[in-house]
Amino acid sequence: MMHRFFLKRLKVWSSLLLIPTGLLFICIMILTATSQLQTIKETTQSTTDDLCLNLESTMDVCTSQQEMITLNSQLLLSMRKILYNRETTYTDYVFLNSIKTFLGSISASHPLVDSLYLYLDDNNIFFSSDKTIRFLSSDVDAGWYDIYTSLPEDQDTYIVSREMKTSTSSTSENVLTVYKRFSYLDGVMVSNLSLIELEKMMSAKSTSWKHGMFLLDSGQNLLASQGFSSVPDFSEVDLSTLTDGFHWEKVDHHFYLTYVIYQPTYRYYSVQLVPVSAIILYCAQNLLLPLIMLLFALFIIFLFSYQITRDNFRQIQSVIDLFGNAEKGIYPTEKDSPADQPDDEYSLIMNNVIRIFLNTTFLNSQLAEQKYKKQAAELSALQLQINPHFMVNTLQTLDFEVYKIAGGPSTANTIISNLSDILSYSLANPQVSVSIQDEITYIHKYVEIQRFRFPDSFYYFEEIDNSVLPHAFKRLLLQPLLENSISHGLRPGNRQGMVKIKIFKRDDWIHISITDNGVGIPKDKLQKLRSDLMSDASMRIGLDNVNKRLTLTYGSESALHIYSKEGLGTCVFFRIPVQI
Amino acid sequence: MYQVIIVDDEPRILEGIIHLFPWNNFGFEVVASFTNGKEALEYINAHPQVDIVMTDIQMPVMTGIELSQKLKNEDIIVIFFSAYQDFEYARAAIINHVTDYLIKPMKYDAMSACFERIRKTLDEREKGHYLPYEANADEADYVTIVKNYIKSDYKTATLEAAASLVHYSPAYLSSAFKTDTGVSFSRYLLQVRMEQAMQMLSDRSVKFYEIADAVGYLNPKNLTRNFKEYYGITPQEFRAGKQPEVTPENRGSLS
Repeated sequence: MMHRFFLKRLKVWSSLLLIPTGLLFICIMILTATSQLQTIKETTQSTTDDLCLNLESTMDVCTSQQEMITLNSQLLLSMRKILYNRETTYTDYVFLNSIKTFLGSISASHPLVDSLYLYLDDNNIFFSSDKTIRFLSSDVDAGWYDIYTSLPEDQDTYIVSREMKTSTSSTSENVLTVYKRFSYLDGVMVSNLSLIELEKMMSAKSTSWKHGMFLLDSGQNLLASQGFSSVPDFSEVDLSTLTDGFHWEKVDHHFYLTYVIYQPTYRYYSVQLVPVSAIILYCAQNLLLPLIMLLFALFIIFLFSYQITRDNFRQIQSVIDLFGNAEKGIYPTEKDSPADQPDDEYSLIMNNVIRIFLNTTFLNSQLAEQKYKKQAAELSALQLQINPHFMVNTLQTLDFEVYKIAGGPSTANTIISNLSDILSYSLANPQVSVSIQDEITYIHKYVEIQRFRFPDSFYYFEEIDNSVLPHAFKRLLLQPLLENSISHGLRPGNRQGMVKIKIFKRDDWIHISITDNGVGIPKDKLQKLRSDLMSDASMRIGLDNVNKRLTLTYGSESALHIYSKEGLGTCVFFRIPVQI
Repeated sequence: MYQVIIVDDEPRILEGIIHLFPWNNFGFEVVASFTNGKEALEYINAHPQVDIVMTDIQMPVMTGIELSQKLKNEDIIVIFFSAYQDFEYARAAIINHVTDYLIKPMKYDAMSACFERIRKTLDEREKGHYLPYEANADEADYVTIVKNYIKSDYKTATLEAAASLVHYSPAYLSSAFKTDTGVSFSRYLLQVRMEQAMQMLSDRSVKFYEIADAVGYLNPKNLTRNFKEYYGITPQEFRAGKQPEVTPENRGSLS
């Protein structure tokens, strides 16, 4: 039962507390997700933009140098001279030096730039930022020229990722090579950007979520990648259809938050991908605290429910105990366990109600007891008013006096003696049990006095089994019944009636009847008499008293029964158990 | 004669006990009476020949209990008589070796039984034997009195009442009556009752239970049984005209 109560309380409390908490949690989740996404987007955008800006500025610097060279006619002339004629004047040499300086300064000032080549068409030599002049036929890095020659005439710029062989060893370096044709003459400016440096730059902007950055050329060929261990396949996505900005795209079977920027000048795409799982993971990281709080709240609810259920049960148990004790007759006192005072207002009211109820029951039972005690006290007070010893001693004196006057024993002595015995018998402690024999002896004395008072008014007989005589009996049960028979049954009649007491044992019961052949009781009166016996308010003190004492002592089976027929007589009978 | 002193604060009762109990017939003599224990004690101290003290319990100056305590180790018989049936009194009586505890109102038979027992004890102590005390009343006289009593009061007659009438103890009367008349007291009473019953049965207007009542039977069935034993026929058979048989029971009376 406690289990059930606990679950119920847990449900109620959980729903009470969980609905707002849950709602709050959802709100926080949405807000966090939104803001986190915003953060991710902003970071993504800024990092990508930064990269683009960096890259573009670097490229622009290279191209601007090219413009500078092409626009300086003197320089161009010297350059041509050197390239075509190999006859160099001092001025040419100066110019050559200045070109060398230009190229060197660019490659030195920009960490991205590995080297710069300056080439005019149909030549065997080209300017390099490191060696000043290199020969196409003998140079270690001839790969760029092959690409250049395969380029269509109308394409001004081109970006390609390739391996560049270094002169010193057979090792090669991955570079991003940017071609830019000169505007006014046939030639090209080639910038070799170090891929390692570029990727280093791309990775410089680290974030707390997983993401990947990619550079792709207009043909969607990968130029550079950073972040992902394996480069996703972009073939399924047509980047040209995507406008610059954010998109939710499926790339290589996975959904990504995709940020795309297209560089029209150099015609490459910079793409940043953030996997959805990474976004969720990142959001979840921030949701961890609310989640912990939610779990904590659940734990608190659980704890509270358990505590309150336990308290309630203790209270219920105490109430049950209280009632149980009250049933056993133990009543709580006023200052009974003040520690148990509940702080819940309903329990307080409930407890008060119970306490009042119990107190009322207790007071009622006390009142009943007091009433009973009072009655007993009044009765004994009444008995004490007539000091039995005074009566007995007076009767003794009287007895002697009569004896003296009569000159010997006379009927008067017998009557006095009987009266004295009756007095002693009836004034003795009613709680002390007597035997049937004692009661019968007492009845004999009573009958003798009655017959002396009313000579020839009735006959008295008895049929009593000798075996029942020693049986325990309640004092003065028979006399009131006999008195009723004599006073109400026999004396009103004109003839000399008779009354018979019959006592016999049968089947564990002692049957006792008092029968008279007197006037009897009319039907309506008899009915009233019987109903009076049933009810508590009876005017017939004698019958009622006997009936009450019988039922109280031996149980309802020993109640009085009255049978009577007008003109024929009356029979009052009852039975008492042999074993009490 | 054994010497008795009686102590009670009520003079009338004192007087009644002294004069109405046939002390001499039982072999006792009341030598003095007092209204409190102190006077009695003083008398006993002055007269060591006193054999028995019969004392009330509740008395001024000195109670019967106190008196019995003072006489505890004396060679004197103490008897209590009181209207109180108190356990504490009974306990004190036992502790102080009180011989008997008589309850007021005093009954002749109870008193006679008590004193007969005491005399027996005293006789055996002094003479080594006990003889039923022979009353000094005229033998023929007491038989007539008892027979007349039975004939007139057959309905309620008892041995005790008869003994009281002739100032004998019931036991003595019983044995003396048997010796002097040849029949026992109860036998004689039965004879009278049966004859009376038969006489009444002849009158058909009298109901049987009236006869039973008249001859002192509370249970009519007992009369029928006794009648049958006595006459050999039931009362009903007698009423039907059957003649009684001569049985060993009624041999003397029917002839």
